[in-house]
Amino acid sequence: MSTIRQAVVDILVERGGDPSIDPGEALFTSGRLDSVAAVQIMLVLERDFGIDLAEADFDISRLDTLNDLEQLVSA
Amino acid sequence: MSSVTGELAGRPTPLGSLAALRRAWLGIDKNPAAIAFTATPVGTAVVIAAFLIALGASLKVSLPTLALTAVTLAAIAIVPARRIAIICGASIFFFVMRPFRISGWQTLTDQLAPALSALPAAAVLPAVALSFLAIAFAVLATMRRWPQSAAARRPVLSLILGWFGLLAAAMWAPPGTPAHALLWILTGVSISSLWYLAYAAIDLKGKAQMPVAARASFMRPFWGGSAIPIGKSFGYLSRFDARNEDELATTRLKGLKLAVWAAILSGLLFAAETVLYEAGPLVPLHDAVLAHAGERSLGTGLNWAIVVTNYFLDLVIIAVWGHVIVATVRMCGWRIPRNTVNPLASRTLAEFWNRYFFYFKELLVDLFFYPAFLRYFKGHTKLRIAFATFCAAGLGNFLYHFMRETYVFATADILDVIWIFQSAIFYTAVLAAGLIVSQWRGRKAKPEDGFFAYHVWPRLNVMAFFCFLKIFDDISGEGTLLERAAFTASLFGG
Repeated sequence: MSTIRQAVVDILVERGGDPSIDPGEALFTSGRLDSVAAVQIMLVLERDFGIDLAEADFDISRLDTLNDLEQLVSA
Repeated sequence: MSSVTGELAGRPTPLGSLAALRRAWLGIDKNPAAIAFTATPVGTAVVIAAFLIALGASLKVSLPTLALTAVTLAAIAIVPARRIAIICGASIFFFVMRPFRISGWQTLTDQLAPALSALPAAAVLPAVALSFLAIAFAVLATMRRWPQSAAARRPVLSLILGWFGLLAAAMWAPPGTPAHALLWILTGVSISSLWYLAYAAIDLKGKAQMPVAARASFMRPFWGGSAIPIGKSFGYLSRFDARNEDELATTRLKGLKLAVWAAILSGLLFAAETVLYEAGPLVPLHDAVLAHAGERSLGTGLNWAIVVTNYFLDLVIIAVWGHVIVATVRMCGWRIPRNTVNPLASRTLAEFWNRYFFYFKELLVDLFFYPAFLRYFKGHTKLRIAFATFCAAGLGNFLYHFMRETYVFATADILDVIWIFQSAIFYTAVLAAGLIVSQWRGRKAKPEDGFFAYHVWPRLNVMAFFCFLKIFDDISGEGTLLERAAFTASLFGG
């Protein structure tokens, strides 16, 4: 299990949610996670993967699914 | 005997029948037969007709808007392949007919009319509205053409600065001239749709491909609402698109359910306001504050009742308003989240904001929180979150209301009217502080702490915070900050 996937699962568990997650499932636009969780994930992306999300073409919707996140990490 | 008793026991009571009916209604969007029927042409027509009746019953939609909604939904049902074009067309028509989001700008336009006597009165506002759509198109096309330009890299900041430039031009234009009048009208039209334009500009970076002309036509979707973009942009909507006939039918049924719920809530609201305000001893909170300031206080007991009542009625008002718009969006085939979802269940201030006014919270988070969070105080997590929260709930929240109300500067000296925003500054500052403290608090109650500590106490805190904060939620200019503070103190014997 990748670190980013584990981070998302940890956040879901912390919020008392179902930890099972489909890679293509919308996390934020579906309401499953909120903006506070988005901040936690951003911090993981910066701290553990060295991704600078302040780059000019960053779009918050790129964090919406596990596939999006893993694509961002592997880019 | 036993068989007779058995028959009686098996016969449903009126209450049981009602409960069964309620269950069937609430499950209608999961009922295969209902979904299959809704997917048929006749079923679609029935659901749209029922939806329009519910929308009319909610009392939140004017007759012309209801007619436009009916025509648009019918057109989408008849020619589904042209859905986006139909919605864009309906939205352009709606925008040209009603370019302002609040009546203050319309009142100002009427006041400025004498300066435009050389022009046909009926054509001025539509012409300015169309001009704004052309400007929106030019802005979006430029950002798409030059994505590395400063404006495209910081679209929200660029649009806000550009709008303030327009405001400055309007304020400096000689009063009584056509230029002065036209600039003020354009300022009002543009602030009514600035946040839609901001979302459209951000959307250019997203995955959803959409012609610029379509994005530019989405400056006031036909489903109306305030300057807060419910549905955000085509990029956001596309994530909730029904992918097949069954999903579309389900989404329409969800829209119908929400519209019916809005109509029921609207009826309850009307009954509550009639009983409490017209037949009963209570008055709206704003009136109670002014009465206290004028030394005509209604008394501590009634004032407490007014503050608490205002909180609950406000929740219902926001819910009805949001449900009507979200229901209409769903009828168009986008299953977007609700604007209000059980706010009384909130156990933190942030959760309340999320449940009470989702799309306004999203606007502040998308356009103010994230940009600030991604750029400033990266080495200090707590400070970084606090600053971003202040940028959203404090600065962004204030800017939204201040920019929306700037028509007051058209006919008065800026120093004479700037004071009307004092309560708004206090309101947004306290809200931001409350959210920051709420996020900084280390340990939050857990279920094992007991029912009261986990379920009751946090909810009471949230309710109390917003009850008292609402006293300062005013930009009418009536009732100063000190008068509102005095009213609050009087609740505690001060």
